[in-house]
Amino acid sequence: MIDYLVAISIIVGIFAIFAIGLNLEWGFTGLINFGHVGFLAIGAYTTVLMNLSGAPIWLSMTSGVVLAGFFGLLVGIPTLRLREDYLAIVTIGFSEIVRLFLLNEEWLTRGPMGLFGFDRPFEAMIPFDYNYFLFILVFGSLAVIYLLVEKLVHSPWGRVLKSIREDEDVPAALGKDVFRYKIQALMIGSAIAGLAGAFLAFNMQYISPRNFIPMETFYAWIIVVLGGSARNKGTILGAIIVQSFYTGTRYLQDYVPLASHQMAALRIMVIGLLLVLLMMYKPQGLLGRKEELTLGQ
Amino acid sequence: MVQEILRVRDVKKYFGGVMAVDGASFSVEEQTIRGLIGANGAGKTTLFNLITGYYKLDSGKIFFRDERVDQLPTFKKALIGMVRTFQLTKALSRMTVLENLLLGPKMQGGEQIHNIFLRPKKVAYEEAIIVEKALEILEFFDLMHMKDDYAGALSGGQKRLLEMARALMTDPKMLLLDEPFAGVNPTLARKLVGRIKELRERGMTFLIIEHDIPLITEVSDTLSFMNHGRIILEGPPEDVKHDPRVLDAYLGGGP
Repeated sequence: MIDYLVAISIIVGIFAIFAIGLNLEWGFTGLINFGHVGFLAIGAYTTVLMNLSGAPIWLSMTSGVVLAGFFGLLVGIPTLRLREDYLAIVTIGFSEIVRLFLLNEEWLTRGPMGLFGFDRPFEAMIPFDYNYFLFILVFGSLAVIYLLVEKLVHSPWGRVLKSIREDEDVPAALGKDVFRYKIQALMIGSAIAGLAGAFLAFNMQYISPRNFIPMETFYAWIIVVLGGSARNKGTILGAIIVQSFYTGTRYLQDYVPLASHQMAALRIMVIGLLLVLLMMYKPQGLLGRKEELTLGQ
Repeated sequence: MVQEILRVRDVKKYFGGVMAVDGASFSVEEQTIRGLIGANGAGKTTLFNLITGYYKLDSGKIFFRDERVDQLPTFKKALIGMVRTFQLTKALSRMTVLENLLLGPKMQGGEQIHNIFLRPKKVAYEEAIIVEKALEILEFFDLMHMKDDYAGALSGGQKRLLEMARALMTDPKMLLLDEPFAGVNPTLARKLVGRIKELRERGMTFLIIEHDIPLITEVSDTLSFMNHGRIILEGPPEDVKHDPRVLDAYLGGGP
């Protein structure tokens, strides 16, 4: 039972990190990133490929994070000067390009076969169940990411991000280089997704392009919206609810007289229903502020 | 010797086939208050957008303190001291009134990520100074009691005040106000006129679009009248106000 809880918690933690990255982009800056999973994939594959070619795991992880952030820069440069909806279009395309690249460039990624047999941090040194260590690692990282992002969004820098979200003409009129701030937010959010990607690989011990379908992006969106956008605590709460429900119900399989594919469909239906109810009764999200919704522009 | 702070030369802007600004030229001297009047659709706000860089000019030149600025992005113009407010107010709704003001000051150390982590004391110190200044300005604009409310909850007139208060936080050399008095109660509008004159005495220059003729006459040193995308008349407010072309534009008249 404890093992199950730890296993579920690790997934919750990974998705909380992943979604906090999105919250920085969407909740605080108003950037519509529909390709967040692309950066998760870059983080995961970079970490694994670097390690498989002999780099130490910490270096591999760092490279994954940095490269994901760097791709945030690459995607941002041509799109963040445009109207916000273009970012949505470009990012969803970008994440599919990443996935299809991973699927087809078999010389590098072994394509649909996926990758395995890579190291995990301190794996050889942990005398007890590695999952317990991973749990600590993931939640330690989540705590650090949470504190860093909170520090950032409550600083004058974060104030500029929020003003961009509200109306970017205003910060521009006040002398803020809006483009630079958007790039920074996208890079940091992407780097955070990259870190989540590395943890995802450690948790599964196997990665394949199937793990990085666009649906993963929308789980992050569900988490952010459910918790209340621009509320990092809400994002963590959202991750707990969505992932513990999604993962936890898998273990209920034995007790429910449904075939596994029916069960999978039912789970998604329930998540959908949850969202509909949320939008009806608490549209600001669980920890969001109701007043914000009633404000005119 | 009077220095020109802003010089606009033969600026044109077309939207599709419609000319919005058709060769407007004028200059504003440093430390003066210039009123800009004209009927709706005369091109006043478009001219503002051109001067502040929200639109690109089709032709013409704009100089600010003898530097050519028509190619500069908006934020760079703000950094060299040219700041505007908006006709359709742009309150940052989901930020508090105080936060709106705190956004104003230029080049804050805490707007750089590395300073937040490496120089937290400097950032906090700077922030304290900014807050103090913001409270002072809020007090003047009668917004103190609203400081912790969301800006989106302000009334139309209050949002207009917030715009001006926020712009003042940047310590601009020149402030371009787009209908600053619309929706503001008469008592406060009078007070604003006084404040604007006081700021001019301290060295600030103003360019103000306004439809309230008595107020703009009172506040301006010089009045420019815009019609069909051009500045066609300029002079002391009393003279301009009584010019038949101005009366015509404002009171209607023949075709």
